[in-house]
Amino acid sequence: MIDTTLDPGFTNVLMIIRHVGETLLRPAGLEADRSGKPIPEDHPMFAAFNRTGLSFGAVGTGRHSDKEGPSRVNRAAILAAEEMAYWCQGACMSLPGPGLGAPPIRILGTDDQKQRFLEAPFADKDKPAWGAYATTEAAAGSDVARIRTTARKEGDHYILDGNKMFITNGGRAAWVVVFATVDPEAGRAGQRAFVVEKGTPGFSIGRIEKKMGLTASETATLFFEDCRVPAANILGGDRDKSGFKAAMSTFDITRPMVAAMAVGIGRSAWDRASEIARAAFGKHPSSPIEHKMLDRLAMSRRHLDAARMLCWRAAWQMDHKMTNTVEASMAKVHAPAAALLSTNVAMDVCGLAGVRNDELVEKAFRDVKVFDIFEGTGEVQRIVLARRLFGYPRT
Amino acid sequence: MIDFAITEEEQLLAETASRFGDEHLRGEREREHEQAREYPEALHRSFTEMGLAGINRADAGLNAAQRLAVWTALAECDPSAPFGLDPIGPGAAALDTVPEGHGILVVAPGIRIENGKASGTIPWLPRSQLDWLVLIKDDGLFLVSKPTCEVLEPRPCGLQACGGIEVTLDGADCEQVGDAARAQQSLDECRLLAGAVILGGARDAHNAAAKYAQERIAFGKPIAHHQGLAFQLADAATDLDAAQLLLGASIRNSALMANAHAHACEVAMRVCERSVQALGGHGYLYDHRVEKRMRDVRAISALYGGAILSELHASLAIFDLPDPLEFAS
Repeated sequence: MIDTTLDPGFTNVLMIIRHVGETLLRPAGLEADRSGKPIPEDHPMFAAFNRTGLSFGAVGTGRHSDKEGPSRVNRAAILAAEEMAYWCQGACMSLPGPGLGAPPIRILGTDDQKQRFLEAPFADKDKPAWGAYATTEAAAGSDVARIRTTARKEGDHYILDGNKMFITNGGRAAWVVVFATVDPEAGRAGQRAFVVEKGTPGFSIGRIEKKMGLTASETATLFFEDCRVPAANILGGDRDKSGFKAAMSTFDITRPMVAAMAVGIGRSAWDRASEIARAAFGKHPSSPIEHKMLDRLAMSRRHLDAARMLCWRAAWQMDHKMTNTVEASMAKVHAPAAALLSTNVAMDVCGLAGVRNDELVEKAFRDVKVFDIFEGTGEVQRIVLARRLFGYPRT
Repeated sequence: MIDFAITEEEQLLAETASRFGDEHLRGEREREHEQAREYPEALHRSFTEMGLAGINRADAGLNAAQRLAVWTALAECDPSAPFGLDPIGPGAAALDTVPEGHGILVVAPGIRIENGKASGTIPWLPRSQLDWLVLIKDDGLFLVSKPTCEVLEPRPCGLQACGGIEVTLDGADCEQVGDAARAQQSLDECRLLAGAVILGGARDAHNAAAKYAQERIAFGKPIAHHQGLAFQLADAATDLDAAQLLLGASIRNSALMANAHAHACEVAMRVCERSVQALGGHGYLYDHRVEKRMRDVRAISALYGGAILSELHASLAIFDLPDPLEFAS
């Protein structure tokens, strides 16, 4: 039977996150949004966050033995993702840690690489450090196989040439996992993942993008020009040809997470709007316009609740080692749309006040749109679903 | 008789507005105006010299269809421009006398009027200065001269080039300048032109998305040639045409107006959001105008009671229920 109760372990973690969100994430996120710039690297919030012992980007990293029964790691991660996004997803994405660079290193990396990139840089809790993940290029987004950044071998180095776009924390990262092709004609089979460390000759940071929302999070363009990367930094070593597969395999974990983040943003807008509605109408809404607003809020709430169930199911499947590609895509299709609807309704309920950027729902409205774009657009999710569910052909 | 022809005057006016927009509003200038949170003085002068300012006054000699043509064309270049450059805005045709200076007509449920005194707050208006405002209420139009305004420090989500103010009225004198029928006429006009602007903005976003989709290659062909996106773009074009026709038809059928406005809000928001989506990550960046279109359209949709009030008025009008304006008070 479906059970959605949370055991005390989960609720305790959520209470801690709620406290961190309220006291650290949201204030820093609002400050950044109003300044129009990402949270600076030396912001005290980062060190304060490190001291809490929480980490962001540690998806599926909890230690678990099969003897203990099914893992709970992914369910915990998805609950945490929603709750953190509730307080400020932009601030959340700016948090120190390996970020989206962690899964490919964990999946493909040698023990030495895991130690060098996932442990050593993050050992000093008083000195925030970041990792980053770079696949997207200006002309290759959803079509990952089309990336044009090349890697050619010269002795014990690889020479990377190309550029990457939309890289979260790319400008401040100690290292970036970069997907490049060693054979452009080979398509996906030619792709490899490299860890490029900050300061590597030929690696430079371009502009920090100005975006509609998620202002607190830094989004950078990265350039690689005759960039000499030691062969020891190729994930999985020279002969491992699973770069593209690695990029794809992380999606089954990350897509439900991203969907849960959208639910968190939608819920924050919904809560704020319902708070305003309650204050305005009391317990006895009288006029038709008040009833109409409550109807809208109820409608958007049910879409959010349904989206959350899709996210939870996909995470539960991961915990039970079940294939969840279809269910992960369903969550990713449904949640951003539900969350956008929720922010839109919340703005309607707030009226003219909802347009001001000192009103939380305005920020939520700008923040949430991109969740239908990154980590595989809604269109890509529908292709995944159509292929898996009824044999939609590959082009 | 059923006729969809555009008159020569409407065509000429739209072309004039488009020419002005192409020369002064599009491209990098649009972002510059947004960043500055105002239009330069010289642009205001050009706007006036072209005869585009104050067209909403009854004595300007333009009919509603002509005003619709001008505001739609301007909005296709920059949805902020009609509100930011026109000193009065929509609805003024219902006023016998339009006061001097910068003003605006508003639906403001948060303002109460008792014994000729108005009190309450209007959280945001797309203005940088305000010499007067007219409150659209169920029992008439009420003029407040020299309202107390405060420039908004936080940026609104859209229409940033218009500035942005908060208005606080604390027992301000207000004078009735129109009866309930005039109030309805004003609200209809406001909805008509707000609808024109959001559909114009959405049309431009759609055009940008359609162009991008024909140039951007993914999975071996332009993304516009992938059925999923092609159908979305076709739906957007259809929805925009339908919404614009409904809005145009409502000029001669007041009972349609609230529904046409609600429909315009719904369609424009969806089209803008889908246009951002068509550009993928690029659509989320300041580099592309679809990003600004989505924010602008959302902000304009909040004016004049927003889509929720229009939906409610529409249902009351359709079922012939009384006092459609009661809930604007």
